Amino acid sequence: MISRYLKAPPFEYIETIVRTQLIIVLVLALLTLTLLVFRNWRNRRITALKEEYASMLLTEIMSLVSEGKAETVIKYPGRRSLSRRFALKTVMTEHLGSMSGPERDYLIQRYEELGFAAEDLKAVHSVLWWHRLRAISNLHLLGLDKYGGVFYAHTKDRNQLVASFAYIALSGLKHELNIVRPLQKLPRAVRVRKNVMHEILRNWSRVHGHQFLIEQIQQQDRPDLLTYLIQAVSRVQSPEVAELLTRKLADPSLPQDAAEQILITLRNVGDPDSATAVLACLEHPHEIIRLRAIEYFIAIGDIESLKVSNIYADKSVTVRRVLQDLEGVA
Amino acid sequence: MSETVATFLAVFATFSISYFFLVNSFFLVLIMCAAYALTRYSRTRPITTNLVMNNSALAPSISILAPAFNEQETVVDSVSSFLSLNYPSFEVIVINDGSRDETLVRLIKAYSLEPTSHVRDDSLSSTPVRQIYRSSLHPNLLVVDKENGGKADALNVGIGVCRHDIFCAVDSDSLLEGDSLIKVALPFMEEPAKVIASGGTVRIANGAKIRYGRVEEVKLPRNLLVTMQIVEYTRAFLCGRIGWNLMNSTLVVSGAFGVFKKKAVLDVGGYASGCIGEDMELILRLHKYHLANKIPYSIVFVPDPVCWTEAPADFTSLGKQRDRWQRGLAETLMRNREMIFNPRYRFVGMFALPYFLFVELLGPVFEIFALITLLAALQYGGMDSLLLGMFFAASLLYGAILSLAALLIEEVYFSNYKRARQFLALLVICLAESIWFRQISTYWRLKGLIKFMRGDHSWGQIHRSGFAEAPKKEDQAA
Repeated sequence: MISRYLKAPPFEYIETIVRTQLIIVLVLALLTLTLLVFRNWRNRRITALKEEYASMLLTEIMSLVSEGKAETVIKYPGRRSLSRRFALKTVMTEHLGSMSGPERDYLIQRYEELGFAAEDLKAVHSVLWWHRLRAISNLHLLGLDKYGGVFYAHTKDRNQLVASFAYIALSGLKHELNIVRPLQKLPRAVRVRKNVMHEILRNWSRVHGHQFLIEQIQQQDRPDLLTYLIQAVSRVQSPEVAELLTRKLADPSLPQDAAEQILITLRNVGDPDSATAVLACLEHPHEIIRLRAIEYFIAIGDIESLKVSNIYADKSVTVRRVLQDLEGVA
Repeated sequence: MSETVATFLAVFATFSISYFFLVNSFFLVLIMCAAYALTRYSRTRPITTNLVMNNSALAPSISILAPAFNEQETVVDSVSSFLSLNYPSFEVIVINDGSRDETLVRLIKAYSLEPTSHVRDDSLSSTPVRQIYRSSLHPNLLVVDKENGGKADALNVGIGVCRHDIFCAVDSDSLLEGDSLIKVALPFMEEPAKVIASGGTVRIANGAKIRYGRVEEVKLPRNLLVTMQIVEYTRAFLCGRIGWNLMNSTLVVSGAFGVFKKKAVLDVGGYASGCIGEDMELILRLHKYHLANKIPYSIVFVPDPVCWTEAPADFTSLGKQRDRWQRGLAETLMRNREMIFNPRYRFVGMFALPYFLFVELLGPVFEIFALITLLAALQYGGMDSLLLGMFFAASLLYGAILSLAALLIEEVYFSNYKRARQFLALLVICLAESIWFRQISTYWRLKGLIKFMRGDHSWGQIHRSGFAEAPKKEDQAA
């Protein structure tokens, strides 16, 4: 009797449903297994090819070092040998990131001779953003000024990540377009903006020298950019930087992030001349600034300044705890 | 048999079958969402992770909080895996929650712990702290010994002791992968103002090759029950959570591995002491607080930072775990019932919570009810046994499709199981899951629900055998 109801639509199709499900199960199972087997086979092949090319590349470079002229061992794998081309290109890009001097110049020359650079230049126009990104990343590894125009064009890429990487690539070159676009133009939507900015400033510091960054700090009025710039100069442990940062610390309009970064830098430099400016930070409304100021005094071994301040009676438990911990370590 | 009874049974049978197909179809949608999200994620994440690794000095300092209760078998390995994390600045705080075994003794011995005085924030109420220890080998390791008060209570003590603005709650019977902390903390670097919590994937370590507190090679365990759970974790915890995350409705950040902004947790009063499902309960309160006060926020699930955990390997322990999870879910939904179907809480209130109520919590009731109805229909209603068989076959195959789709996703995006034989075993298990595991699991969940209604709030002790370390080379040589 119930079967009468259950055989009504949509249940009348139950047999077809079961049959279709069975087919789907078989297809999924086969697909998963095939993928697994194919991936394992491909991984083995690529690993073997990479080893082969790495050893050939080493032979070429060794002959360059010992005889002053490289013996060409690697030949172009051919357009159809996808795995070979992939393996060779991967080996070359891996080595490009780790080599320097004439070996690197030779590697760049071979990369271009084998047509990989031309391939990348073509790929930067791909409709798939991850192809454009990979191509820009590869060209960035070459570090050649002649690709500055390509990077500059892609700082306006519709994909924010590609645009950011083009910016990073451009910032590492001694190219006339390098500092044309102001920092403010960096895409805001990029989630790792802070890291991108940091990378760019690090490149600028390398290309233009830290003096350039110091000038930028003096001119900069945007709080976020000021913080990035301070982070970028924080690695430069010079009295000039310490003096500039101490001066900045006294500025009442200084944003919290920037103040924290300055205190970290001063702690790392360990310059006792900044003590007067840092002492005022022990009264700062933000807990983190007071903590950084404590760290500075502990680092320069000036416990006395802490004792004369009100920091031991600070309202924050964290501040009192850190003070206790650091004192214990000191 | 009267026409009325037949109609009644037919209506219920139709309802049961429709419910089953709807639930599975919704889960299929979640898996498809997960596939889409993972495609997008896998293209950008390696690049952004590299960028962050290059500038790791920008990563925020994190306090790792690991509550431990009778974890003598795993605690030393777990702490060792936490201490060797690839992260620029972190501290590890183990909270010994009044263990009755050798948890504290083993920690003291392994890490040369010495008593230390430590100022702590006691704004979150908790049971008394007996002593705080600092390791003389690792200055960034603190062990808090306190009276037993439950996991939530232990975490609240940890929050009071930790010194960083972001904390990571982990289980002390878990192992973290080297880069997992930086990956799970990445959302905090990307959107520092908005992200208040992020969680990573929890995977099963039973059977895996472990050395020095690290998973070296993933292998399938010989225990069928654990292998079954591997399929279940992949389908429900990985694909399901990624799917919910795409809809901005992450309701569970696993207690075994979750990162939180301390201020956000303090704003909602910390973990709810005495609550069994403290992890989900906290997430629900975070949603409630931020949505009610119209504060922009984000709770993120990150698929690839992995936390390895030891799954229960016997029926008794697994039953206890599932029963506890169900009671935790019931308690959490009960405590936050005003959010369900409340438009003020947007997608969380209108969609995610009703799903958890009708599918996750009441699912076992519907399933048992459906089974009884269909069997009654077969016995008294003249239902065709072939038709009933077809329905069971359809339900079994639908379950298998979901598990296989999840395994396919696992293979494409994570490739953890490298041997074809292992994968073949998983495929067979996918087919077998709906035949017996689902029914047992339904029984445990139903038991949990009944126990909750009777007011049982016990935690239940689960037997752990510890991570089996792979033999070290020198040992092998000897």
